Amino acid sequence: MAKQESALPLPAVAPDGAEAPLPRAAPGGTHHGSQPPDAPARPTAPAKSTEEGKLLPSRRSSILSTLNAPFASRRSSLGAAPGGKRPAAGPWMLHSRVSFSGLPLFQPIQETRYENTYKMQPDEGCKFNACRVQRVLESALASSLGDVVYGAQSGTQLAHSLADLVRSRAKEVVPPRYKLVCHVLLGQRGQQSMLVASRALWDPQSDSFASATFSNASLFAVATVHGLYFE
Amino acid sequence: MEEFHPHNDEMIFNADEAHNIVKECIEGVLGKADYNHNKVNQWTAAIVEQSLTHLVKLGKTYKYIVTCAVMQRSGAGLHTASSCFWDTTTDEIRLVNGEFPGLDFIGLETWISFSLFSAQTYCSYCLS
Repeated sequence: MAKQESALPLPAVAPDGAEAPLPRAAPGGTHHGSQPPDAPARPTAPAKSTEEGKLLPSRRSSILSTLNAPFASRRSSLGAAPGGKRPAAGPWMLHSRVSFSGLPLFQPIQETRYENTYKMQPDEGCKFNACRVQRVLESALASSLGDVVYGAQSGTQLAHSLADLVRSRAKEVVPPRYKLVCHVLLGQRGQQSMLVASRALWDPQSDSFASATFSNASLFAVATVHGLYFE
Repeated sequence: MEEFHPHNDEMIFNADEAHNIVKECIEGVLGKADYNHNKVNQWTAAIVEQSLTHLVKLGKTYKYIVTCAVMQRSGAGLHTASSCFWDTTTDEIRLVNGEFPGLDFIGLETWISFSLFSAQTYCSYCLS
């Protein structure tokens, strides 16, 4: 995916995850986009110091490399592009603010913006492979539940860990740009009957699901993974 | 060429509203029927289909997955867990489990676990 970088001079920056100050979807002010309020604040940046960029070029690069890491991994599956007009990155945008005492304030978070990829469908050969995922599910269930005996307290933990395991295994084999929904049912084996059904509203050409079951003497497990293509 | 931008209200999904829709579907399908083991298949299918139909009418740019598990109550334990790889700011899970008020006969015989997953499918772009 193509990237274009622009610096956002945010006043009080906290690098903890994708919080509200980071606009993601575009125009028309979605409920979690904060770009419109930020836009008027931008022109005030050049009023602050202008020599900061020369003093700390190396520091900024190291900060950018650490700050970009958590966002980039998240952004790669979303492909959100900027909304609205952005001024070109002139020299004043690269400079941070300086307090009155001359100490540098926190560097602005440089946000990675992705351009439109114009992709409507998954690439050739990059679709959700249901057979492969089913094999992976079966092996994951068999390896983790081979000799386990059902216990009421341990069942909760086991179900949780199974769900995470299934999701991590499925992520390895599923192509990128897919969202995954993993559902695990773990039950004690008795004389009861059970029916599991699921239905989805999706694009049948790009989305699919895979499921696998496992049972031993004391328990049974049903794992389902749905893959949804996200453009 | 005309650009297609979904309206703002199509992108925002109210998961509580979906939760209520699903609960009403379940009560609508099961509330009027006496328990019949042979009809469990039909009930499951009806609940799932009706929920999905109502969700489609909301007209959001979302994909939905509904999962329904119906189990006979015989004293055995059941655990369900789900793990999702998606965008947590736009996508949600809603669960409807167990017994329902006013459906005591169902509570004696069966246990129902219903999950609704909603994943946003469209991220609008702007050509800059």
